[in-house]
Amino acid sequence: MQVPPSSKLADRQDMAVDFRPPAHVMRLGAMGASFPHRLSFMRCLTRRMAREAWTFERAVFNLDDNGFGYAVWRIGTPGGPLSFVAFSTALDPSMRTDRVIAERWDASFALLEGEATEADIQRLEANVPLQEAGRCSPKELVLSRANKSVRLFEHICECLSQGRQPDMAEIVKVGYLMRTTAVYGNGKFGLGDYDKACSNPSLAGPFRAEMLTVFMIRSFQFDLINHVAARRGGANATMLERPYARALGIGNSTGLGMAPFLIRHPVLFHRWIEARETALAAVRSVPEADADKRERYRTLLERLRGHVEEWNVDDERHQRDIEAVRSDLAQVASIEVAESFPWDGLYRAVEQGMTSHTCEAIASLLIELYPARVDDLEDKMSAGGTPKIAAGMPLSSLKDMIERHYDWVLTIDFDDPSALHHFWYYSQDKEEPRLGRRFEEPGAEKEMHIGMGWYVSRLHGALEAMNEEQLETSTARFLLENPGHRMAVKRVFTTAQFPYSEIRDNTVGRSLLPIDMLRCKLSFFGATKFDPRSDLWTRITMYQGAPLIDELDTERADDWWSPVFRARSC
Amino acid sequence: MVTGFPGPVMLTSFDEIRRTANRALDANGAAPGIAEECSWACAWLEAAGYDGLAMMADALDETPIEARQPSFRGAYGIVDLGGSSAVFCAPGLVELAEAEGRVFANNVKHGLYVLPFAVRSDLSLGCPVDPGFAIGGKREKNPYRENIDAAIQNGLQVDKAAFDRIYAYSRNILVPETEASRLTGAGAGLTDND
Repeated sequence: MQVPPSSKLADRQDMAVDFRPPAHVMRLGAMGASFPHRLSFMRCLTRRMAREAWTFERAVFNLDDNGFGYAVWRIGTPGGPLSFVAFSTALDPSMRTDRVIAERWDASFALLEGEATEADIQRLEANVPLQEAGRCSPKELVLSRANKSVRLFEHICECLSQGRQPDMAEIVKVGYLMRTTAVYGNGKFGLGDYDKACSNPSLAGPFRAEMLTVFMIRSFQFDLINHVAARRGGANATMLERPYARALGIGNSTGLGMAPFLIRHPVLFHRWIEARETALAAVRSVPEADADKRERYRTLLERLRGHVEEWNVDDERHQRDIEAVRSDLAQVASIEVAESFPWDGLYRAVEQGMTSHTCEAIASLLIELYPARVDDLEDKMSAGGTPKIAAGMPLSSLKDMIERHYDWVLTIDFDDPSALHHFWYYSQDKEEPRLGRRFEEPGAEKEMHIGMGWYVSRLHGALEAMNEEQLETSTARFLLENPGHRMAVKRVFTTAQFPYSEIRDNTVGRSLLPIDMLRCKLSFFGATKFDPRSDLWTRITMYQGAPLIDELDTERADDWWSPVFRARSC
Repeated sequence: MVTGFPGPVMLTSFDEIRRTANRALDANGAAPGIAEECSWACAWLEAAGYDGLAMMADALDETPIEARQPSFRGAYGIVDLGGSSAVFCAPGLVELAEAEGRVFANNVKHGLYVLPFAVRSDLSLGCPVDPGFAIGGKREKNPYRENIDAAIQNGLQVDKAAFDRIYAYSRNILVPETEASRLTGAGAGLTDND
């Protein structure tokens, strides 16, 4: 048996194959090929809501004929009640922008702990539509806003008001009625702390409150459009049928803010990757598969092929990647699955002959096959503190650790300006994270601490310059004398204990493609239909194909991986 | 109504203090890695009933930017900080105590910033500010846990003037935008009424 990367999961006795090594998994190229999987947070949430029999009651629906007003849902969880409050407002088209720098939106939202009282509603009405310019209380856990996809909203509304269902092809093409432009959690605008949210065990997981908020926004958009269509069409109107509603998710434009998070939360990031890799290793370790599993594999493979067929983007490079996956999957379908260690054999065949995108897609598929081997890992995807520096460790040992865990850093020449080409910063414009060119643009002196390879390289250089006696100094005393190396020392200790915590590429070099980091994180959210609009940001769809709010007690609550929507016209 | 502050109070959260203080230190010359730890200490101190925000603001006011990464040498178990603020070096002092058994730190300003790290490491402070102290050595109790938990559940009332001072420092991390940078953000270049 191979030893898993950290001690927390070392109790798994069912591993016959290796974990994929950090030297592969943590490269940006592999991260940028990630696919959503059954441990993605949206999947975990819908599974949990079904398992714990959460209840949803629309307590207030105070919208006018045009759909403007507010609505409140009461959400019952085993850990206590929550409230979701939505405000829908008229928006001049000239004010509608997906940029984080916008100041007005079609709708704004808050997720609250407990019951929302009249006083809460009044307070929220004065603040939530203002978003960053307003103020929340610790009772609020999430603040968000969204804009309509105006053209699709109008198309569907018109169809429904005339008693018809909309054009499925249009729905599939766009994928959402609303797109969020920010989903804010703890640490901002007075919102409640993450640890407070986690005091409700039903919300105790990474981004669970945020994912719940997006799920509720999706539900709100259906109630909103049915309401407006009914007011417009009167007796002629009909409601959006379930297959059409399921095909609608929530859109989002995701930018650079996602990327620094992964670097600043190394232990948490490790947990996510480790859970996924443990799941994959567990499935690859299955010695033989019965006929049901083989049939399920065939079903999921066909579904994956259909999903990828329906996925098209404007960006040429990414469209080529998608087409390569389509081609690869046709070949995968012809691979005969072996009797002995069938999934390991399949995975190896894909890994050896196909693109990294196909490899990650098949990894996702395999994880989907064995819920019983995988689903308990969702409870191991939260952080749990940062490792302490071993203060008494001599610097010689620290140097050894760098050479063992950061060998990739030692191959980069940071004296070459191209290795330091980029810097990450917060713009004065609504604090939007951006990427600058260090030697061409102002602001590098205010850069975020993102270039971990660079810091560790400098630390290693300082240790290389020491004699044997100096290398016997304790790490604590070294740091007291050389405080500038503190971050690098912390990273080395963290990576030694949590090997999936560090991205093993230069995150400030010229060849950096931030989109790779975004895709990795978004895949853990469960986003689909990645639609990169540049190397710096992407559009995505969330919850497309997910069960509706009143379908959580059905079989489909947990069977929406790689959804396929057959285009139907009204 | 919370009393004890000379001016208005504001309701905030543990994480908001930590985030704001983190940026304030990062943007104003603290050593990389210090901000993450001492911003946590700032929130911890506020939750425990101490003036973490005001002390940090004072430290930033009083310390020239070139002195915000203080470096210390000294004999085994002894450090003379020469009047430097613990806001910029507190975790290192506790690590040194762990490595060398105990540490005598002289000429320390804002020494309370050592307290959160000492509690976290189960080490006692040899001074009467710490109700958990036992004349050095192993800490016997954590009398702050209840306050920290309450702050996380209910939020924190803090001195608004002190928070505003830290918030003002945190704004120094922002880079003025250029037209070129504006065109690279998420959502840029699309028709938003589609």
